[in-house]
This record gives sequence, structure tokens and C-alpha cells, in this order.
Amino acid sequence: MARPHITSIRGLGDFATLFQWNVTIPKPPAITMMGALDVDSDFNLRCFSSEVPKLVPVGSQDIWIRGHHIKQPGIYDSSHVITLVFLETVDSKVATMMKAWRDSCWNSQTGTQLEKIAVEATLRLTRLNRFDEEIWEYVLHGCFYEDGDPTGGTPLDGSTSDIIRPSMTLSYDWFEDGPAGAVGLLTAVMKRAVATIL
Amino acid sequence: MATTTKPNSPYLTDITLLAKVSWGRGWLWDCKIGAGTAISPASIVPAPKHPFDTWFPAVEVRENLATLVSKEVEAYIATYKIPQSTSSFSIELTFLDDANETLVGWLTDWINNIILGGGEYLLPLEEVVAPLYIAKLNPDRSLLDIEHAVSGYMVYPEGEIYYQGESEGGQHRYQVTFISVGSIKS
Repeated sequence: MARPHITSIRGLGDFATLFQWNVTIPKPPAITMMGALDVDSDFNLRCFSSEVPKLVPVGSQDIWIRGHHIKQPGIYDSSHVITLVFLETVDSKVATMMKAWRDSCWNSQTGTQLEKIAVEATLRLTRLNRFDEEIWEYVLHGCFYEDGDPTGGTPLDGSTSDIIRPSMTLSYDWFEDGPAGAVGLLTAVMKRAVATIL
Repeated sequence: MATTTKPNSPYLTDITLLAKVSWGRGWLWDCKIGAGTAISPASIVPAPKHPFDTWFPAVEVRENLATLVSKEVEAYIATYKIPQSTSSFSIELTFLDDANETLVGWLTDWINNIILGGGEYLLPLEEVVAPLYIAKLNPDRSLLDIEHAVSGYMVYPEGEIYYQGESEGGQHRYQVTFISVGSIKS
């Protein structure tokens, strides 16, 4: 078989990019946990970067019998966490959202918690083509606040003029992915639409 | 070279023989406990409450499949063993409970109020048994295509159940031994 030629590569068409994406919360937690951050616009606008969910092997099975070693598929598991990085503004909208969601999962003074069903959200990540059309989506179910860094790991100091980029790590139960519109998000979208109407 | 030729032997000589086998996976099982009337019309043991009425959140199972006790015989200068008897069969389940203590409440009610009659009497066996099913599954979660893919037992719980509170993160995890008083024909 011939080695790929430059015309072969040009024939592949547009390559998928890292910068064309959106993140939305079709099913947010109780709306007060989003603070002043608008679920439909602010969240996506301020989200600077996002990890992508993946399935990781818990451990494929090793079968050793008298010096012979073979493997077979074992258990696979979702990575269960996804980290989003935001751009903070002086109105502290991101900090307010992170604090509200965090306090709902665990109040640091009283140790009280809301039920998981009250604090969980459905997150939707979409990758876009050059026309900003959705080409692939990830839908993460059962998202709740797991961890957060108010300054994104960069300490406050006296010589840095960079802006603050808070990071928030969400836990999720499982995810679906596939061509945009093909995974089971419709249920979540419809639920939210119904909830809005009611 | 002699060392690279395949040995002519009836035993395990080739790694491809291992690769042809679909080896068992420890997590491919499931279990369920039903209402006592399913196996004993006189039983008053209810099925576990929702959401555990159709599936059971067991995380480990130990199913006693066979027990044979030998009789030891001393004769002359040696000791011999011959098959003698068997013993009662048991199934150990380790499970997680929900925030409402649904399963432990159901189990303690089974022991304290149904079997022991609130400490006032002891009900006969036929009134205190419930069915316990253990299913063995294929990798696609369908039932194994073997004769006893689902084992069914008439059981009652034995032993002690303690509530254990802790101060660190963790779930409520319980281990209960069920005594089998008969098998259920599927």
C-alpha cells in the first residue's frame, strides 16, 4: 500500500480543533446554586477550558497459567471527574457560583448537605465545526461539585498581572458521547423545558 | 532449532490454548430476594421494600455449592478418610444499604418480629423463609447458558446484625449469612 501523499491528507477535509466547543447545563442544579451566573449564557461564556470525559480501565484481567500470560478485557469505568476552568470578573460571579454549589454539597461550618438529587446537574459539552455547528457531544449525568480552586492553582501575589482563572472539578456518574444530537440528552432537555413551562 | 518446535504433548503447550478460553469474571453475577409466599404459601416474610424489591445491592456473595464431611478411621498404622455426610448450606451476602436503612430495617424485622415474634414466640420454618436467587451472567449480562445459571434457595437469616456508625466517609455495609433450608427448582 502506498504511503499517504500530501493530496491524500488534503483530501481528509477540515480537521477538528481544540478551540471550537461549547459547554452548557441542560439540567442545572437548583438554580440558586448557580448564583448570579446565567445558566444559558454566562456559564459557557466564562468557561475557559474543559477536560473531556473518558472511560478508563480499572484493570484488564491477567491470566497466568504455568508461565503463559494472556489478557482479557476487565472492568472499565468513567473517569468520574471533569475539571472546568473559568474566567473570573470583579463581580465574583464564578466564585459565587462555586461557593453556592460547594456549600450545598457540604456546609463547612455545620457539615450539612443537600440530597444528591438536589445538587446534581447534567452537563453537555459539544465540539463544533468551522460553521459553529455541533459535530460531537458529551453528556455527563449526575454532576456535582467535587473540588475547586478559587485561583486555579496560581497563588495571589504581588508581581503577577494575570487574571484569575478559577477551576472547578465536577464529579459525574456516567457519560454518553456521540455525534451531536444522537445521545440521550433529549430527555434532560425535555425535562428542563417542561420544568420551565411549569 | 529444537527449542522452538512445538512439543508433542497432550498437556498445555501453547499460549493460544489459553486465549481460546473465555475466562470467568468475578463481577458477573446478580442476586435478588423475593417475598416468602413465592416459595412457601404460609410464609409471612415480605419482599425487601422499594427500591430493592426487584434488585439487591449486594457487593459480594459467597454461595456454598457443596460440602462434604469425611469420617476419619484409624486402622493399623494409618488413618483413612471416607465420605460421611454433609452440613447445612449457607449463603453470605455483603450489601450496601440506602440512607433510609431500608434493607437493615427489613432484615431486623424479619429476625426480631417475624422469626422471633417480638421475643414472645418462634414461628415455624415454613412461615419465616424467603427465596434468594443468585444468577451467573455472561459478559453481556445475559444469563449463562448452563443448567444452574440461577440458583434459588429457601433461606432465613442467621447471626447478628449491628448498626455501625463511623466518623469518616463511608457507606453502611452489612454482611449477613442466610441459611438454606431447601433449593428452589427453576
